[in-house]
Amino acid sequence: MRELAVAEHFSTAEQQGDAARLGMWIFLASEILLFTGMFTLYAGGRAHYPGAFAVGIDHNLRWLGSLNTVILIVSSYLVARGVHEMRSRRSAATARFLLGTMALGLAFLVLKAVEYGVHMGEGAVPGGGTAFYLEHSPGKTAWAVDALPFFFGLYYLMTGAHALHVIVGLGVLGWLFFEVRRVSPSPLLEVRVELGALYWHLVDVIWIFLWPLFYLTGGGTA
Amino acid sequence: MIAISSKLQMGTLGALLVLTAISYGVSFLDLGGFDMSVAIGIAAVKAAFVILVFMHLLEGKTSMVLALFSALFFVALLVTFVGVDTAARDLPPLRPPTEGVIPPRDLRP
Repeated sequence: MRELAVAEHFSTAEQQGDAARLGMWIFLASEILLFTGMFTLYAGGRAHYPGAFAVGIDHNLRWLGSLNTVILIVSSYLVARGVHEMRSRRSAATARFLLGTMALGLAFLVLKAVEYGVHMGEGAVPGGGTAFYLEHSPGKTAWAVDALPFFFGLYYLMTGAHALHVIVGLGVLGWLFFEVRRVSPSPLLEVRVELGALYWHLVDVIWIFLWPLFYLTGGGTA
Repeated sequence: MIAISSKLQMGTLGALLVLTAISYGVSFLDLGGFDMSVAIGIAAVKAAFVILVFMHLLEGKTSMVLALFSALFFVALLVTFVGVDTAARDLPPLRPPTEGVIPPRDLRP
């Protein structure tokens, strides 16, 4: 088992851990701001084209998006349990919780890919220009027909940016999975697991907001 | 500072799943213009649960809370001003109106 040593510019492991946690929170704050730009675009778009947004949201697969919400929430719980086990110095249990989290993360991506596939098959492709948009647009004028592709453009942009974060999160958790098995338990290892978990939770928090915006608030009962 | 037990984590998971179910159920109802506020309100409560318990902010240092709140402050600033600005404007010129096209103003429901 490898040992983690305190970096020389820190006097104690506790100090290094606190610095790392603060650094992670600042990074997460910057991630929130990245997504805020997109959420703001959504708010502006929706204010201008309520009709197209209602059609687009009602067209999305509500059951699939909701299933993905449950998957991410449970995965968030599992990784939190992993951190808990790590604090009790149980590396094997931590590894199992990390594995469970990754399995759910992978399931999320598979469902997301299925959903993208369904949309592409229907012609709801990024950029517009297909018969789908002409058929489903709430108005048939050039102005109105531009609004639905805008909605789906945002849908692909925001869920795509989120999916990218899921993929990165899976990479981090995968690395931690091996790390907890080859590094002897210590406060510094705890911090590593904690920071990986923090990133995964952020991915969950962002989806918690994407879910109502793209699946629930269409206004229809489809 | 509150220590986070595995019992609290379990309770939080339960609360999150119940809130998700409520949000899903409510989405089938017509709340007359409040759909968005209710959905986002529930989402905010869920996010608070995740941040405070799963992300251990209940146990966190003031500096971490400060980092989060400075982000939330700028989120509020951006969303408020863009919202006010958007509400006070006409449709953006996505495409110049051509002959026979209804003027954009009439498309607003």
